Amino acid sequence: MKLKTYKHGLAVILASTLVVGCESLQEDVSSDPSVQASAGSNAGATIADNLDKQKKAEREAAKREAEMREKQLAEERAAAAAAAAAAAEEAKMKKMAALRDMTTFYFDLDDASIADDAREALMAHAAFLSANAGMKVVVEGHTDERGTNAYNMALGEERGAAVAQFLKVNGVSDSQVEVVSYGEEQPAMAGSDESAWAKNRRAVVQYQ
Amino acid sequence: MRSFHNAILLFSLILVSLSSPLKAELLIEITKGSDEAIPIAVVPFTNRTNQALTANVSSIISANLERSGDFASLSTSKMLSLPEKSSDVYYRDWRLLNQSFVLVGQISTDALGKRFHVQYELMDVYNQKRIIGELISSDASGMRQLAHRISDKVYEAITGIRGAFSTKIAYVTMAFKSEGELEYRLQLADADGQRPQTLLKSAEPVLSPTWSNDGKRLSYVSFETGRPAIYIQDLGSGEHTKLTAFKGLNSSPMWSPDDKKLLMTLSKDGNAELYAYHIASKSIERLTNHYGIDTEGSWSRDGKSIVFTSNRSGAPQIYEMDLRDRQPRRLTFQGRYNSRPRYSWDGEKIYFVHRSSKDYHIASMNADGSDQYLLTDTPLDESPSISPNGQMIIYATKHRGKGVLGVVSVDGDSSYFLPSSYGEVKEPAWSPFLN
Repeated sequence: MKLKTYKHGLAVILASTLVVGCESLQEDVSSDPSVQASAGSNAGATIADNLDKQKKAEREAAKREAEMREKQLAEERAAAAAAAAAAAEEAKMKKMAALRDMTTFYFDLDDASIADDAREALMAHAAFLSANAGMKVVVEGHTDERGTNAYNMALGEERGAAVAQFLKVNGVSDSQVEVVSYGEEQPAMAGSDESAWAKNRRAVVQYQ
Repeated sequence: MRSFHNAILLFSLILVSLSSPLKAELLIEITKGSDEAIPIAVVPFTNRTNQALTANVSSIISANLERSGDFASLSTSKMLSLPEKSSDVYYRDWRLLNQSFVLVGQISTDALGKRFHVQYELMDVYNQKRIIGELISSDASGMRQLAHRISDKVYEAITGIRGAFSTKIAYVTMAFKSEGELEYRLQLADADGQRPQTLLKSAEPVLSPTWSNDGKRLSYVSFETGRPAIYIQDLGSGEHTKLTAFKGLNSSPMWSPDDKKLLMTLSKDGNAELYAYHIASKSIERLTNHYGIDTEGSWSRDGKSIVFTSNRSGAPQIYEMDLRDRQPRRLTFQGRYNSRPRYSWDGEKIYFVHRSSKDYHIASMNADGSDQYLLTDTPLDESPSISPNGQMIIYATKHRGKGVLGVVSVDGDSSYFLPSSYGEVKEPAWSPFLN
């Protein structure tokens, strides 16, 4: 009995020492002698239980906290991603708008094929026009002064049509594009040398 | 392609009509004369009217004959006498001056001084005889036409070919009215560039004027509505009718020989194709069908076939097409650029624009495509149009950096410029005979 009492006392001390931080439980065990007496025989199991509960609670709290943190981080990451996407979109829009500033496209002599360096800007026009079905453009075709006027009228038309076709293939509807050829009648630059001629062999996308 | 080996540089002379009260728009500059020119002395016509004349008739005749390239006229300062009628002509004097022909005349007026009479006579120096003579009259405003008519008679009496000095030219001018503001004009003038009249003024392009074969109407392309359309203008009434304004090209009209149809280029069906437009019924008939450019169509003189420019081979070349079988036949194979064909009046030749190694020139070939040669060597030559007597071709070129009209004989041996004092001059069209 002495030993038992001792054990009990030890258990109480142990329990009260171990359960620091969990005041209500410590109070229950120490302030209710009946419970202490009746619980005396399976005091070891109760302690283990309490320990498990405490650990579980601790784990859950930690988990909740981690989840909270995770959620917060995810939100932060999402916000950052959204901001980046918005910035990228804005940059893209800016780039597309800048590309659309390019409205004059040049051609080689007697040729109506679209130059490689014109494609990016024409794609930007096509994207804008297909996103804005109410917008219309006139594609003007021009030539340099060399050769005959009526042939140049047809060559200017071919240039305008090449640009119009490019736009249509890239989603612009027929009704949004009209081609008007001016042939050699409206030079962009006066003069009878290659620098003037190169500036005059062109198609111009004119928003209406 | 041959060069101009038998051509010599005779003049670089600017003739300004001093007697004309109208400011001349086109100033003539002779660039090349023929070495086979016939020597003729055009003696200044005596003025018996007691008033200053509105035109110097004999100097206009002299300049006309000179420009044809077929004549070399004797300077007045070299003449030993200035006869005014055939009975005063001493043939020996003119033979000493190596002249083949002498033209004399006098101008008188009616009692009121309103009506002018020109009596002229043409003498053959070697045969010592009068060939032709006539008394013709007009009011003061018709003096230049009188001079052109006499030129026509003299030219025909000596060469056997009808003169084309009384004809007209239509052309387009383009000038900056103010900074960045262009003005296009459709102009009509005498064949020597004098007495210009404006038929149309527009801020938008005007091009491709072409004469009906009866000489009463012009067809042309105008962008005056902001889009190209083909018009007909009646020269008598001034009436201006819009014919076609299809979506896309409305280009290059050309009258059929019977003036009932216009050959034209439209792109309404997708790309540049040739169509015949029936003026009375306003119906159109498609003539060509190819994804390449087909344009600059022109009728043969019998109206049974057409010639046109097509880039169906990959570069512009000239094709002929019989309208019954409609199978295009390629006529040009030299070079990468041959365009805007026009038949000669006898149908035996085709005149066109050829790009040589570095520049554009007017060229000639037989109607079957054989015997191609260059007629001009000025820069950026285009738009050849043939005089109704088949002897000269007027075309657009550059002279001292400016667009001007050039005229070259069909053999390429003589040529002159009609430089403009107003803007860039282009797209000349020589009228048919008008009387």
